[in-house]
Amino acid sequence: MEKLLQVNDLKTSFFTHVGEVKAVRGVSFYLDKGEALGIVGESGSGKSITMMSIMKLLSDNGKIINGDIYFEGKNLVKADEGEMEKIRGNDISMIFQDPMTSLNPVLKIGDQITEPIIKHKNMNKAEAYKRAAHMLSLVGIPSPEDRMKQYPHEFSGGMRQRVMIAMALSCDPKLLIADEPTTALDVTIQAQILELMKELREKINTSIILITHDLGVVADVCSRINVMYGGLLVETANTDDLFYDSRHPYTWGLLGSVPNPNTLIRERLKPIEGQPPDLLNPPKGCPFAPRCEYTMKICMTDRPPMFEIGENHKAACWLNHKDAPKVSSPFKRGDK
Amino acid sequence: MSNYIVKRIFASFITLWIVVTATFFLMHAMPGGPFDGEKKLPDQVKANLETKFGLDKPIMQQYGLYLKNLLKGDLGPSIKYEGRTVNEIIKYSFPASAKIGSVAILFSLVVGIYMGIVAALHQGKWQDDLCMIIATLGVTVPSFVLSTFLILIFSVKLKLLPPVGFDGPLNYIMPAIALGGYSLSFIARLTRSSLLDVIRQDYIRTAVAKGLSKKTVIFKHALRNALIPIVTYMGPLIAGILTGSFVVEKIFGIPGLGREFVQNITNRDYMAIMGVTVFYSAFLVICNLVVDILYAFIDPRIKLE
Amino acid sequence: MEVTKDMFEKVPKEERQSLNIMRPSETFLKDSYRRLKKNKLAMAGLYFVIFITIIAIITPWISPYSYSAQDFNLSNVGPTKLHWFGTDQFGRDIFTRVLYGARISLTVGYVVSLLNLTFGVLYGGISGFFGGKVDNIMMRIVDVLYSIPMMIYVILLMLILGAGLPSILIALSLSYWLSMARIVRAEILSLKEQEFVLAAKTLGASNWRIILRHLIPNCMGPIIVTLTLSVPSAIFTESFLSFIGLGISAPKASWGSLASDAMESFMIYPYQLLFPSLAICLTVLAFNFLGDGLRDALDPKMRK
Repeated sequence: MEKLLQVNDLKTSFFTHVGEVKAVRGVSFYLDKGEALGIVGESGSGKSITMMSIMKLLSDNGKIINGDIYFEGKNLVKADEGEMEKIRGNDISMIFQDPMTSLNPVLKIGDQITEPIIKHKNMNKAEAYKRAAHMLSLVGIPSPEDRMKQYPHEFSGGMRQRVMIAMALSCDPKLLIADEPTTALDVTIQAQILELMKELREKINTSIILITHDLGVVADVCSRINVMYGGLLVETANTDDLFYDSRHPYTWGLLGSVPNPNTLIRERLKPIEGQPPDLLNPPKGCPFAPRCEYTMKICMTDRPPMFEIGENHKAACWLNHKDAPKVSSPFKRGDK
Repeated sequence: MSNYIVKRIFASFITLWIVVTATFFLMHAMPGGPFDGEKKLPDQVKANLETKFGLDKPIMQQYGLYLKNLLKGDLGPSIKYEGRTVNEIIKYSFPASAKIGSVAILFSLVVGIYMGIVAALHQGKWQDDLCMIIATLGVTVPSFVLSTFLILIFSVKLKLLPPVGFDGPLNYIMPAIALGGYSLSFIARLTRSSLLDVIRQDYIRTAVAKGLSKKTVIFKHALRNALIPIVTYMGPLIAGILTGSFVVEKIFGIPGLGREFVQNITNRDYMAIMGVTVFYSAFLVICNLVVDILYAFIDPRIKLE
Repeated sequence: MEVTKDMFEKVPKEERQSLNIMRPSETFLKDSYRRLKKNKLAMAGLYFVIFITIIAIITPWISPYSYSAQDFNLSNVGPTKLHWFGTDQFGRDIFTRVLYGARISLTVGYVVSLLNLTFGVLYGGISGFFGGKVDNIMMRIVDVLYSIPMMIYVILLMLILGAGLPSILIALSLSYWLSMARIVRAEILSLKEQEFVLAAKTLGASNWRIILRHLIPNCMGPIIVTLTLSVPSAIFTESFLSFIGLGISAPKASWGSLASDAMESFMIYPYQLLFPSLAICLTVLAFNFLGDGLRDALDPKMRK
């Protein structure tokens, strides 16, 4: 299958008054056409910055310092602003975490949702409004013609996220990046939005990258998952393998902090002790070493390479080395 | 929306009433004023004041009479100039002030907002530094100093502009700069910080992510939000121009209400001071009301209130 | 890279955690001061403010001439070695008068700001803390006062009180606490919902204690900035009043009254206007730089 997106050794840094914050430190991954990929990690793991680098939406002090981002064979790192404008909202579009602040408060919903359609689809205003209304009804907003005359503050949080989704999908993007689209919403609304995304994925053949810190959310939508930690990709696997045959202690930690609805006994959630690394002075070895239960000497001095585990399954952990002591995932098939 | 406007109009009337009352009693607390009966007044004025404003009556009755006359729009006679009423003084001198004032407001808004945008879009570069240096100087130099040095440079040394008078468009330039200088600086800083703040908002990122050009993002999405604080500054801006006119009109010899007011103060023309004060306050209260209503139109969120 | 077997020995917990050395977190004040120190303009402003304040205090001991002695043989002399800033129409040394002017102008600036601080913080603090009806009434009063031209009321008050330093202090203090009250109220309103206030309440702290110990120290940033910027605004207003003949009366002088005296003959003797104006501008500039620097340094939003 042809790869839609191929990221090679991406490094992104922010230059602040205290020094260079290395937010992304060499990340490589790919995305197939029509695939849904999940990216999981704590805040500060570099997952959002990776996406911002793809869209080239970094703030002024942020810079891609190494790597290539191939989208349909075109290297976005080398693309200029004009080329990016044609890609953003058209080929790649994005949904953000907080729907309450992601819509312009002084412009009508209709204005905002038709903007990308007029820009990218060469439609006139009337056609764009028609398309916008269609998109809004697609995401489950009743009487879209009336709603388009309203301002964002007249919508609830869940409704605003639906608007954001409609807007993002309005130009039939090839790739939709959803950056924690449900984090800021109530639990019941979260479920609705996820359901909507799953449903739309079946209707519209769009590839999706879903960023979240909640493994439960990606399991539902995505077929493959990247786990990020400390600006690095630490494990990548098909969803099933990641849940039942994970090879990285950080992933185990994440799995341990997911509530398990299948067990009747109330298990204690295990939080991962300690703090993520300081990316101003990232550790020389494995970034997870200070928090890891299995830390070995080598973890403290050398950054682990990506060990091939199986098809589509790689993990950056020294435990996978042939000389390492055998430790297996506490989460095994049949456990959950 | 209409509910909001009705509420604001009502509040404005209350404010106006408080202002009139405060002015009235402050004036009567003034030692050596015409109202404590010590001062000799021209007979005609005195007679007029007694019949119309009841100067010989108890103070509460005088207050009632003043309010009654005020409702009729009568601010009373001038004490210094026989035969002139305060209404006439305002009628003859306010137009000049209004003309100079509007030019100054326009000048400070247009140039101030422009400078603020330039500075914000070039944050940290020389354009930013230049705009902010000008803006800082503007809030640093008192208007009378600025006026004087403008005259020294442009009239005395370069002989480009007439130093005083109010005859042609050239007479507007220096007074407008002197009057608007402070507000211009303030508006430039306000626009800059507001725009910088807005640019960091999530909805701007959304707009960029939609593939809109930088120009569309700035002018359609950012600027409208950034200019909302400027609208709230309109009230203080008008008040500042108004107060500034006391000094600037005197220096540039503009026959306006500001110069008249300072003259009234020097002359201790109490009826005129009281009348002009009430007029100024009413003017400002109305301006604030208009600004508030305008604000409700610009910011859709306010309708919820 | 060579990987040997011994590298796969397990590391004890203490050792691996020692890897995780975080940047020492700085306290708010230390962090703010570091930011302020980096801002050269603000530091220059700070030094100038300290300098001019010391000068104002020690003027009676260092000034070369009397501020009031007149000598008509020396009237309107331009700047010379003996009279650095020249003399005025009465032959008084302008350098000396500018030094003495600093005393009055700075007194106005400082005293008015401190009174504003006290009244504004108390008013805003009470309004914000009690909220509800109390807040509603107190803020309506502020709104009314805010919508009338303050300068005109300062003028009316000056007419009642008569010219002179005490009147200026009273008139300005009565009118300029509004913005401080508004700022403090807004801060308190948002702060009082936060956990540490709830914690203090649960522990049975009295309202006064909560306001004074917990809330006000936490909105020190905006208060300090407003305070710093209110000093130049008071100096400005005083010079304005002097200009329309309601300020300090001779032979005493503020920078404003010196400038306004010099206005009459500024076409002939521009230096008489230049020096007091320069004093006002530099001082106001210094306070503005300092205030802006403090705002940037203290604004928590700007922190990383």
